[in-house]
Amino acid sequence: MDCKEIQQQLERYFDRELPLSDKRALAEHLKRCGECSGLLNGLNAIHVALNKQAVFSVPAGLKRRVRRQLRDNAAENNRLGVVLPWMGFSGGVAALVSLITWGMLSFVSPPAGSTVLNEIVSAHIRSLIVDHITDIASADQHTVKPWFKGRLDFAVPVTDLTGHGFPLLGGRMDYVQHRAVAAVIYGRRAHVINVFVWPSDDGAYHAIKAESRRGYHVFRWSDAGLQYWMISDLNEIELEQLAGLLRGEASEPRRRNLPSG
Amino acid sequence: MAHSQQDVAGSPFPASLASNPELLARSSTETAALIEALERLPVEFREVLLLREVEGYSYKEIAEIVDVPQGTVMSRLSRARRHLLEYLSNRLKRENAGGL
Repeated sequence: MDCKEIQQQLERYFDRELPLSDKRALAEHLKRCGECSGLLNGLNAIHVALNKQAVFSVPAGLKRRVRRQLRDNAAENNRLGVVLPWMGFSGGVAALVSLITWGMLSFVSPPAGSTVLNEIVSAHIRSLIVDHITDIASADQHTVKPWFKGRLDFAVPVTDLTGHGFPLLGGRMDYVQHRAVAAVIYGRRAHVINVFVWPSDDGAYHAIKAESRRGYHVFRWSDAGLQYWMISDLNEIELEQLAGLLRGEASEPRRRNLPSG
Repeated sequence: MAHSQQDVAGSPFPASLASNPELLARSSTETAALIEALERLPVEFREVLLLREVEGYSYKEIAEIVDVPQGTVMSRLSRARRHLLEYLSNRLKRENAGGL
């Protein structure tokens, strides 16, 4: 592929809309070509800037249309199940794009605040950069949940929310706050959502708190002796929906997981 | 700084936009400049850009939301981005010429 062909496809590549076969050729070219990778950096700079501090949003009227569409889609998904285009998505491309994003974000980001929050953001980005989103890739909660046993000293709530449009993508071991933690990964369209779970210091219930950092939204809450940190670049409305689903599901694991026999 | 900047025939991007991504990135992080650039965009371009970049919808989903063909979404998105890149790039040149 020459520069002309590459540049004609660059935006689809950046938007993760390119077929896998084309992505590989394009990624190879970008490694060698400073001009084309410079253009990709420009696209990424715009993306990062538009997401910085959540300054920009779509007009109110359009938001209403989007919400209506989301409700319609959710109803449709509940009836038919969801097949995400993300499932065929190349992790290598995610890694490349995230790597550039990370570079840009490091360049513009404010001084560190909450240590845990920073660690969560770093762990999320790291999972994308090194193409290591899951240790175990499975949409089956009965595969992912037992996988954590023996690796962690607590039971990790894992629920497949495909019916709600948040398919389970798998699980991963990670390291936050000087301890091993569980990362349960969900998908939503092209977005990756990491839910980090580890025991909380107290067993009290805490409400959801939402924060934004480096263009990512983070929701955190505690329930039944565990703390949950959920992070993604997905919009806050849908993340809040997922947080609600996880809190509801996680609080009733026994009833939901009882074997039928 | 003496890069030869020849447009690649058929590319949607002017070659000048690839000349200095670092400075371009720095300029594009300036919120005021971005707001200014966005305000100059027709609303149908702006909404497609924000639905993709901020809300993260796919081309197909955006096409359904704004009720236009997917090809129109792609061309609007491309024009919106090119507009922002060119605007910010020109702004940066003016800043540099002004000794900022």
